[in-house]
Amino acid sequence: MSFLSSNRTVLILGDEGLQVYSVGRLGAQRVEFLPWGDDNFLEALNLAIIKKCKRKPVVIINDMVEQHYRKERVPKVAIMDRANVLKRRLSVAFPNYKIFAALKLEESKFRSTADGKGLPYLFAAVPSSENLSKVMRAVQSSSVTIIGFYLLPVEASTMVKALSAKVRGKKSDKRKAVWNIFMGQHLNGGVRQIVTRDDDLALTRMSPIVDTDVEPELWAKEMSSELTATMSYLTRFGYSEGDGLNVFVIANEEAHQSVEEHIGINCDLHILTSHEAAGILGVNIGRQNDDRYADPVHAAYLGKKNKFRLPMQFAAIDSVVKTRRIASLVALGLLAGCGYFGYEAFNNWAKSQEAKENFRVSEERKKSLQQDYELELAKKKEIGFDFIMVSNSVRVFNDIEMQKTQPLSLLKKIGQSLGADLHLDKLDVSSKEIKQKKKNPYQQEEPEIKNILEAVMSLSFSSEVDPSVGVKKINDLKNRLDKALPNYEVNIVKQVAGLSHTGNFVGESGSDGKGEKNQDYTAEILVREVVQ
Amino acid sequence: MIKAIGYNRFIIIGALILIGTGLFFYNANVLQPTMQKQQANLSTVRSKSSEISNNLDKLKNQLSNFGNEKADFARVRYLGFFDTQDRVNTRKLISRIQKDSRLISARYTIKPAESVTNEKLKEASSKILKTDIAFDLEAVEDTDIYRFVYLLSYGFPGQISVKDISLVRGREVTQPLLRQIGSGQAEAIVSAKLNVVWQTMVPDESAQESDGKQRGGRR
Repeated sequence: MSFLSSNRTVLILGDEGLQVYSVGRLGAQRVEFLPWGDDNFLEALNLAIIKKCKRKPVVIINDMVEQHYRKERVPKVAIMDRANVLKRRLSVAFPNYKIFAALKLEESKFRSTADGKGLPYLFAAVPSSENLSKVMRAVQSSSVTIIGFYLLPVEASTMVKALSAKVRGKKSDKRKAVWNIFMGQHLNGGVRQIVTRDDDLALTRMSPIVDTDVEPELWAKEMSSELTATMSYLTRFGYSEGDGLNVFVIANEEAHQSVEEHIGINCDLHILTSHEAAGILGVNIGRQNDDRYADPVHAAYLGKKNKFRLPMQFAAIDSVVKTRRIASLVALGLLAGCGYFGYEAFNNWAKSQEAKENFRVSEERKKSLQQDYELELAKKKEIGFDFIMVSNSVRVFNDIEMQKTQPLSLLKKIGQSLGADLHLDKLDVSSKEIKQKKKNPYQQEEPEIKNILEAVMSLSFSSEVDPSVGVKKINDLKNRLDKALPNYEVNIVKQVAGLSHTGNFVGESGSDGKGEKNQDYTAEILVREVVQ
Repeated sequence: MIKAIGYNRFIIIGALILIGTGLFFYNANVLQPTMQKQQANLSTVRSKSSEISNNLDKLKNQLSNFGNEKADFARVRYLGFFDTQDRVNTRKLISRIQKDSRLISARYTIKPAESVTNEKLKEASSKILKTDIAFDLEAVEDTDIYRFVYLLSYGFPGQISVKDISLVRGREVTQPLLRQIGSGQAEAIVSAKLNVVWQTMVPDESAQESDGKQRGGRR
């Protein structure tokens, strides 16, 4: 786990020894070269990783000669079974090796004459060695993070692809070359050639070469002959001139012209110093004594690389990687937990602050309201009245006023309607309670109780008065009452001598008229208030 | 342990455990209780503010209404609505009304007062005294009866509500009767039975005791 750090320790395993690079802000600095036969190898490597490289996560790169590659097709199986099938096929392909891995290739780029069924894979294997075991022991004892164990040619193929893409951008002919060859001398003296076809590793060679910076002519000649040898291999791999070929050679300034003169094959030749190559790749290799070595470029590039193509699998690294992967997951879980608790804590703090601020505002509001209340209370005291008493007594008085019956007006109107010549024998005025229905039928309240006035008037006439006169007078009185009391209903309950349509008429006709004298000459009028 | 997982991971995991634990306990023991306390305080002060605000609104309404009701209250008080229905004074008052209305006689029965109460009255720590009075009246003219009812309605303290009135002309107006009246001997020609309800508002001592305060129209 690097936690996305770009600071790394890059260990390049060569045939002569181990190079230790510290890759960081200052570039790729070679801090140690440890020959395999060094008696203090473990201590020195441990010291280099812990002290000189300051415990940076370690990337282990195999740059030894003995690396084995095969392209094979693997039958299509379910995803769950794929790992087992691959492992079995790798074991079959490399029965004597314990360190191997498989890289899935794109079908379109796979040009194998083998059976066309199945998925194309690049199988890679390296032998276990005491040297590798020593490196692993030292790395494990240093307790630093191990990113993984990789093969330099496979991982550098992406570097070649990046270089090819950059130089293509500068050319007028934008056609992509199918073949790319990267040649760079390593500090152990050998020249590493990485050949890619369609950006996938096609061939890699490590060959010894004269290690000189004083005889560029000789150096260029040897480089050229190595390239020629590689080209002879390429023809067997299906190379044709029309495919397009880029050749990248890492050389110092002094050797540029010689290299150019000696390489006579038909290709796009790009001779670059290590700084120029690093610049094109966007990595920093820092200060270097000689620009003809390619190791710092590889170290800087692989030290910054986030996604490796082919992590090699073997027991020693797998156990460490697995344990550390679990530890990384635990760390991620803890980080998430910390994030959660941090969020909760921040939330509670924010709520607390918000409540505190709101409390301050509310407290001020309360004080302001209290002041206003006290001012109003002082006004009330100054007035000296009990407001509830005043308000409610007025309301109760008005309620009673509304409910009470007052017959004075009715009596006055009746008196005025009688006139001068009519007199009442009896007048009964009483108030009646009636239940008045609410206008809204959906209201569930009790019906309103209202008091109405009812008056019964009794009048009598002398028997000498002609009944028709009495009837007329009563009718006239009724009319006058109707006019005087518009809110009342006036009914003649009993007409004089019962001379009405509804009255019970009792009469006697005789010679002396005595029968008429016995007749009832009283009348009754009912006046009742109409409920509005 | 360090060898198994690596120095950096060990340091990172250790630091994360420490930070996580610290955050958990700080949150649980400090921040959360503080937040809850602050929110409780806020709730309390808001509740108090709301109570004061309600009281203030009520007081303002009362002050505003008092401006309108002041004149009505003065009128109600002037009309004797707060009369205690003292029987001695009542007798004197009826006697005076009888004389002023020129009734020949006014017999009356005053029943014991009933106490009536409702929400408004309880708020004002008061009650209504409700008294039924029955009159037997005798007069020369029915207008005397009318005058008596009029004076009773408007000259008596509090609210008088007429339940019923029954007037009867008892005698025929004849020459001898007229002569008798003319000689100064008042003879009853009209008699009436009058039933009224008399209502006034008085302090409710029991309510005042339970309130623990003395209330009245004017303090």
